[in-house]
Amino acid sequence: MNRKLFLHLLISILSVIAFVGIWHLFTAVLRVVSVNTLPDPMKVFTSFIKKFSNPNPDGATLLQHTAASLQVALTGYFYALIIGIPLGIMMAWNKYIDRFVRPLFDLLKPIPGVAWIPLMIVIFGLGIASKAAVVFFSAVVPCVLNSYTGIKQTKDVHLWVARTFGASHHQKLFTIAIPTALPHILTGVRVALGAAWVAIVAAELLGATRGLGFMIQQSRGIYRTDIIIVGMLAIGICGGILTSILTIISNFLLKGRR
Amino acid sequence: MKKRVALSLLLIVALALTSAHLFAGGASETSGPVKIRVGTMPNHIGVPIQYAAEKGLYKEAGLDVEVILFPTGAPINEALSAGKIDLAGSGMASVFALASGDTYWLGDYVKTVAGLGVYVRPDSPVLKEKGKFPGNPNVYGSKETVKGMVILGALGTSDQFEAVAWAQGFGLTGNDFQMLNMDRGPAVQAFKMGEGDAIACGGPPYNYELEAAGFVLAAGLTEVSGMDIADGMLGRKKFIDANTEEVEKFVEITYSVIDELFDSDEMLADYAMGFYNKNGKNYTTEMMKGEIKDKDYIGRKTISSPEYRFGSTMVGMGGFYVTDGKIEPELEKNIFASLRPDFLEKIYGIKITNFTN
Repeated sequence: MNRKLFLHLLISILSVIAFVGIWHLFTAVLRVVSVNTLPDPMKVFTSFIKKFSNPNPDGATLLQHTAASLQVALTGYFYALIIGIPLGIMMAWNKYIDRFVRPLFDLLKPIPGVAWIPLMIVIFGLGIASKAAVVFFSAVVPCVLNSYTGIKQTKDVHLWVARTFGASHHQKLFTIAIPTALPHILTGVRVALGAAWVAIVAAELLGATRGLGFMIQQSRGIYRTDIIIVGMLAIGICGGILTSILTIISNFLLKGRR
Repeated sequence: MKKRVALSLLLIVALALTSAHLFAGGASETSGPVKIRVGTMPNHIGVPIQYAAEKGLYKEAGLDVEVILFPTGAPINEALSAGKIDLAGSGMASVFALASGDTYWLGDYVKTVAGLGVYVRPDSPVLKEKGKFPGNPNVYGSKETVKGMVILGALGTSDQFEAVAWAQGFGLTGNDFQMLNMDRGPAVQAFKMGEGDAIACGGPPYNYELEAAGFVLAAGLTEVSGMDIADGMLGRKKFIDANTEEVEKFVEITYSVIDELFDSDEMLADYAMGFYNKNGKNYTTEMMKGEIKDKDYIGRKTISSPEYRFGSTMVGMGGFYVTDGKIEPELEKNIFASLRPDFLEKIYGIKITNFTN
């Protein structure tokens, strides 16, 4: 490991240690805050470990809640990818489709995913579909926007060269525009994942029986701030892992393109 | 460089000041009487407090009381914890605040005779089973029919307690059914639309709405819990310890409202209906009559009786929740320690016995 990398790693570790240290100082040593309002890091760590095997107080272990959240989030997310990316590409590639879809898309774009929750519950009921739909609406916007921007950034000169060599409209799209747009599209895929993860937690705060959002809401009602923080940590860790996986995939797909 | 250091220090000072303000709960610093911020709900629990505040009874006694209304007991607990309110009139959610060790229970003041319980649809398999609940043959259901149910209701409130107490009677725990967290009004609407297998009802007016829609009470809370269900008054330890005299006056006035005014059903109905309807409910005279039948205010007469045990609901419910894993066993002692009958003992000049499990 070179010196620069080691220094970066050390600084990152130090920031976490400093944060936990200040937290410990305020809660366990100085007791500025009641342990019920903000439990000390050791209590949270103990609860985090216990929660892997203990379904109390919310009826499921941490892994069960995480699996439930992932199931819903990934369902909505994949639908967003399947629909959002082709839609963005088509809008950018075909002006008639753009003119047809854009007014509706511009109208729906500013609506935050969580605002869809009541309507989705009414339409799809309280099961997985309503929450997946909320995730879909949150994740589809970055997919469309980034795909659209990516395609629009295709250089005209590349398209002219292709036309000169007799490439069809179809060939220009698949061999020039989409590969050019790929970095943008993959950025959209990453942003959409973050949006999906935020939306699922919000969706589970209402009308859920399992999931990390449900766990937080349940613990909120019964004064278990340690479990609330455990839920928040789990959300952060899962989000981090998913983003890392996507980064690895992106790097693989973009190898040699940058 | 110096500029950066100065800017960083300034930022740290600003953050520290903001944090100190937040941790202090944003308490106002004004001269004159201590401001007492009281959280309660626009239902039977809030009636005596709201009445006393509206009629100026607290003010006459030299108290500066601000009443803040919440939809359920769960956010009241959060407001107490954050120091945003000092005292509260609240329901069964209070047990979690008491278990925290940061609050005192000052008095029970309204008892539920009926109206709380789990409702099911007329075609529910639960209704095919009766007599299997130990100690109460009128309760519907069995271990098999309750296990795996989806019950709608608000988490951290009496709704959850109803469902847990029902399940425990069949040897199940709160983890054997799924509680779908919803506010009470939307839960009733969702249940009517076919969502969930059962609904834990938070009392009037929702029980009347459910009964009118043809749903059946499978398990009344008083039957499944086997104890008196009493809502009451609690407050932050720090505030009460620092302002004992003011809190005593507050308790005295609130109980005087209960003692003197709520002997008259007409007066209660008249005031309560106005209070509820002003706060978005749609009470009819019939519903109000039903509520008066289902709720008994606890005043001097009840508290002075030799059978009365202070804090029985909170202690009993704490036991339920410890068994169910919702309250950690080591916190149960906080509930016993939170009982403060001394305010009522002083006000009424009597000796009160605490409830023990």
